[in-house]
Amino acid sequence: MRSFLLFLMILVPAISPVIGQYAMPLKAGLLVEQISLPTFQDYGSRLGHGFTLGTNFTYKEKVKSALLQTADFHIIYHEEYGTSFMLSSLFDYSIRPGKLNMDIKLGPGYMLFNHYTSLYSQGDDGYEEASRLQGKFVGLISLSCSYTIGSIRPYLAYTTYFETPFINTYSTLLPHQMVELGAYFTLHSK
Amino acid sequence: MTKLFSNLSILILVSLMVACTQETIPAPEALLCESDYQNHPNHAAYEQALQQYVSNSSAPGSVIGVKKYQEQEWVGAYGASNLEHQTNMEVCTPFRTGSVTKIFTAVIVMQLYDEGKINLSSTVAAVLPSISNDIPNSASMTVQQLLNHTSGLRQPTDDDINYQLTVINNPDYIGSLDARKRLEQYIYDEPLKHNPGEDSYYSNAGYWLLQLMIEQITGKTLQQNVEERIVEPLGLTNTYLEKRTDTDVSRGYNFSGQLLKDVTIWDRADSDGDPSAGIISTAADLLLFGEAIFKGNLVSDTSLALMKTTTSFPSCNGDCGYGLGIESWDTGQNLGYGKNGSSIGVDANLIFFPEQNTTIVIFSNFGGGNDKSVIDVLLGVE
Repeated sequence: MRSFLLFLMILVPAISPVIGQYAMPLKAGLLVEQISLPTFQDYGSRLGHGFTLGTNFTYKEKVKSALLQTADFHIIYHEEYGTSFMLSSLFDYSIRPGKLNMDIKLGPGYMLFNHYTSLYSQGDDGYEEASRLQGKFVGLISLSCSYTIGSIRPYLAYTTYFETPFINTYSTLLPHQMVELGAYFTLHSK
Repeated sequence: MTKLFSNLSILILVSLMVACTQETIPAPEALLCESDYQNHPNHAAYEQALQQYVSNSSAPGSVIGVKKYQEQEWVGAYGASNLEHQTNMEVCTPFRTGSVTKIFTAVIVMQLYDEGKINLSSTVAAVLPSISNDIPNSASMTVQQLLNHTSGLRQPTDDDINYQLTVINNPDYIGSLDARKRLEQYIYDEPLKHNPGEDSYYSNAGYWLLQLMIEQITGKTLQQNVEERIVEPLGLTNTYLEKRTDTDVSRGYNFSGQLLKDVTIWDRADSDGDPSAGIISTAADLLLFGEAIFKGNLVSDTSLALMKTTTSFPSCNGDCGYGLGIESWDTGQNLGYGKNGSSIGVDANLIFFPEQNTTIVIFSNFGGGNDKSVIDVLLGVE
């Protein structure tokens, strides 16, 4: 929980300029996820699913490119593995030839992971049942494209991310891939 | 905009409700373990060794069994077999034995060898012609090489990240695959790690092929062979290969960060019903099984000698340690033969020490590594 607060201390200043903007860019999307390497291989045909809400802050904007920072919240439900409540904040380099945006993003995240199976911690009289919520760090790389149509900008994003810890003696990292489909729109403060 | 936030709030609430989905671990039935192990002459010394073993381990629970030839066995249990229900580990708690299963499969192959129904030099192509085109070098890959891990077949559990991640991503799917389907999915047309017989590479896949061979030759399932050739003749009371819903089987655990996680769902998917890792058994049953093998009651003396003959290659710095279904086990002080079985959440060991005429079984429901120095302590008890 302390690491989660630390993450918020980093994230909030990063997105705070956005709060004060007159027009707040928002995005909302649905996603499918899979525990896998970045590949099209079949991993038993099971997909997790969930949704994303997010915003971004523009550091620098040119005619055909921009440098942004995102702040996204994902809820991802994966049957027989668990549910992730993930906050991420990625550096976003955006190329903008006309109405088309192509973005490459990279950055850290933090998830509160609700395990499907039980967790235990060492107590005075042996192992005791612990909360199934476990804090995990995440590293994400994402590619997305979007196209402006009137006041909204539909997007398609592909993200691969690694969570840690996983199982200490086998692999401390667990890879996922995720595809998002949604839209950007602008929330006006008035 | 208000409507949008209202809809999103509903979406979040639904997601939070779904997020509460958790595995339901059924309560074990009350195990009735009738035993008089506390009257064993070495009970105090063995019990002390068990306590020491558990205190050096992160395992919630352990079972240790010791049997000197023609003497009464001793079995001790400590800790918990199921943390969800705080179930005490009992001397008759069944465990997933992991690769100890390979001894069962190998014994059946060697019995068929003793009966003249299979040759160790027979090739995969000759015994299983229908799949000869699917396995590279099947015309030169022998039964013996499948048994002693020199076939060159891959080990999906260790070297195929696709297999490993599928166990996590969809345990139901992996658990639904029998040996033939696992071969189709992860072995057919895959390049070998080395040419057959030219090096050593540990592989469960060899035992998937051996299951097909056993079933083709005997006309019975591997499970039927285990029952008819091993379980019934030895009078084993709680040993089986088939997939069952057995709530008494010890759960398996490993660490995720600082927290101990129940990983049984993955062990079950990876191993249950598998000819290389699927036997579920108790310490008392494995002690009987181990003694029967190494005293020549299940296979001929010739077959036993072949089983104990280990391979040697430069890649292993000499002795690779693998015989036919068994491995040599050198503690530094004592040399034994048997098998270790390690899964994500369980560690199982069945080892026979010829010099001491003693069979030892060690079960731990923690898959993150366990100290084996207890073996020398147990062997040192007079």
